[in-house]
Amino acid sequence: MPVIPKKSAQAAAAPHAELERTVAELYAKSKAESLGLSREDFAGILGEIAAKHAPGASAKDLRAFCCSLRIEELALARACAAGHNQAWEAFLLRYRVKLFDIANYITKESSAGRELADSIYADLYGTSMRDGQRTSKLASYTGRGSLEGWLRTVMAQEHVNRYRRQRRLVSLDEESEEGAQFATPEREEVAVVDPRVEAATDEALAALSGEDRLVLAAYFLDGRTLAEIARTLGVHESTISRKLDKLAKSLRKNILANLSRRGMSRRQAQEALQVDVRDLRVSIRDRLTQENAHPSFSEKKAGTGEEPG
Amino acid sequence: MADVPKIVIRRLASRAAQAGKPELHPDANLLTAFAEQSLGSHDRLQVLDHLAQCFECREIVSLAVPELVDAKVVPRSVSAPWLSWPVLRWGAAIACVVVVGAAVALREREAREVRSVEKGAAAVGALPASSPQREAAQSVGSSMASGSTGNIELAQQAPSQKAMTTPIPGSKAEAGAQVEVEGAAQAAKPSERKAAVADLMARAAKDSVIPGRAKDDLAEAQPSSGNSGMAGAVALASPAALVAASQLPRSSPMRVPRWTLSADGMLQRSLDMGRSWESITVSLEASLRALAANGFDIWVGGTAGALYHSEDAGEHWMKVQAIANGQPLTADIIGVEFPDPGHGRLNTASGEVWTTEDAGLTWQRQ
Repeated sequence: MPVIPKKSAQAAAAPHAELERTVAELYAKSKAESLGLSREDFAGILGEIAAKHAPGASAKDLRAFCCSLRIEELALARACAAGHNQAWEAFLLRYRVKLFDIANYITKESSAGRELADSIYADLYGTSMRDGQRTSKLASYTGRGSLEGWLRTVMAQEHVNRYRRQRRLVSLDEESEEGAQFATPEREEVAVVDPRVEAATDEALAALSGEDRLVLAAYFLDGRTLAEIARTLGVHESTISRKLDKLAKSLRKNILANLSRRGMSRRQAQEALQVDVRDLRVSIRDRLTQENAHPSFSEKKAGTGEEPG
Repeated sequence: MADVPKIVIRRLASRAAQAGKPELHPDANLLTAFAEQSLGSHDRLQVLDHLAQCFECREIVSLAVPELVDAKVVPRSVSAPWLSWPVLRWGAAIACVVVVGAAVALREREAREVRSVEKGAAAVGALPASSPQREAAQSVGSSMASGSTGNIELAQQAPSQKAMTTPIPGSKAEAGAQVEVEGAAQAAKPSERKAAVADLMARAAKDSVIPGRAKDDLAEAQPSSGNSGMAGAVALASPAALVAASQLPRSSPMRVPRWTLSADGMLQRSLDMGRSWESITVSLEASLRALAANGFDIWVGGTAGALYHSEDAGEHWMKVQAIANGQPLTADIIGVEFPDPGHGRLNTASGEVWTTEDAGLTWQRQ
């Protein structure tokens, strides 16, 4: 048995004691005991989440991370996943009605909403088995957002997946009813664009921030309204309007500058931008018909291979 | 909004198509935290980058963002409903201030009126006895003095009137009823009665600082065709005349007097909303037990069937002897009710009930 110097043993024990104190505080705060979770279970859950989202963090950062979690809702979700009855009673009391409300909000239709809510409820309860044990979807909740928000997201993911599956399984009769067989084949537009213009545009787009590209994609590709984009980003829609205006101007300016660097005169560059006046048809919906969903960031990192949204 | 060059949109779509579907998606926890604006900056940038190229996750986030967040984030100046609690609280406070202010103002005004009436009385008293102004003031018939001075004068007037019993000529003989009218001779004249009412009005009027106004009201109240004698008394006692008399105070600013009976059976009247009371001597023999007032029309009843009626707010009184089937009412009257000037009801200590439907001309015993 190796002999640990007294000083280094004390240094190693300090963060451990700090973590123990944090776990004790959060355990009391989460009321996990009344939900049937033991302190060891609770510490294990916190350790699992910290390893997933804050690997290698210092004791101080780890404490800050743990304190930022929705600890009470986390305890409730994990107690439900562990199959404690009192936790399920509390969960149903708090979220049962909300589940149906959220489903109706997402599907915009009551029967589809009920179907979605029932499906999610089954997933939350855990109908699938892994290693002989029932696995509940609530076990993947980490408390980084509210439990209600997480339920919304999970239901939205399920709704999008369902839509994709339905699109894939649509019958020929339905297609013909929709007039698909009479549809004129879309002519592929042969865009004869100067490659310098494409390169200049790509360069200008690459220089944008993720938020700017998100706004452009949501507005011009998805056809979302200013209000919808603003709601997603948590800002006022006038902010989005100003941002789009500013983006349009800066993009034009940057593309012209890039074209100039590529040997075009200013007049040529302006003509190159004005020539491209064809309306672009982007089939957004087609992109929904994907075969498989892909694993999430964290799930991929964790190597669980669980199916994400 | 400035137009984005078409090539930008094309390249955006092309980049998205070329990149294909990202293999890694943020999980529900990250997307939820992003939608709730609770992600750290590093994680947020990662999610933003992903959302910029992943239509599917944009769709999910868009569906997952609750509308409540929209309401919370967007700082919109929502005007509070006008019937909210703060408004009600302030409204109640303002209403209290207004009510208190109105009460104080009213009280102040009344005090000013009383002072002005006293000043008027003092001014009249200060005039020389033979001066025309004093005669004019006395001819109005209203002593402008109020309070104890007026009370003494009124108390002295009533007993000085000599009793006079006058049978009513025959018209009600078939009913077997008789009405005995006791009072001063001038009380039988309607013009004088109305003059007395007007006089009372002038005493109690708020605008008593302008004596001429009382005189104008008096002139307007004079009937064009004068009745005389007993016919006049009967006419005045008729419901129409009573209604006409009762309408007098409505067109004037006068207050209806208040009445009460003292413990020793004396009738008392207040012309200033109960602040001061004057005793009215109706009868020296009887002790009054009950009264009924209807505007300026007042009935009082007392011991041994004593029943008195005044149509001019107690200035002049008639003794009414209720007789039914030749039997006079002799029991003590303990209750008088006149819901309107024509219809009345008496309750006696012996349990009898006497009613009239013609303002006391005839009576029925039940």
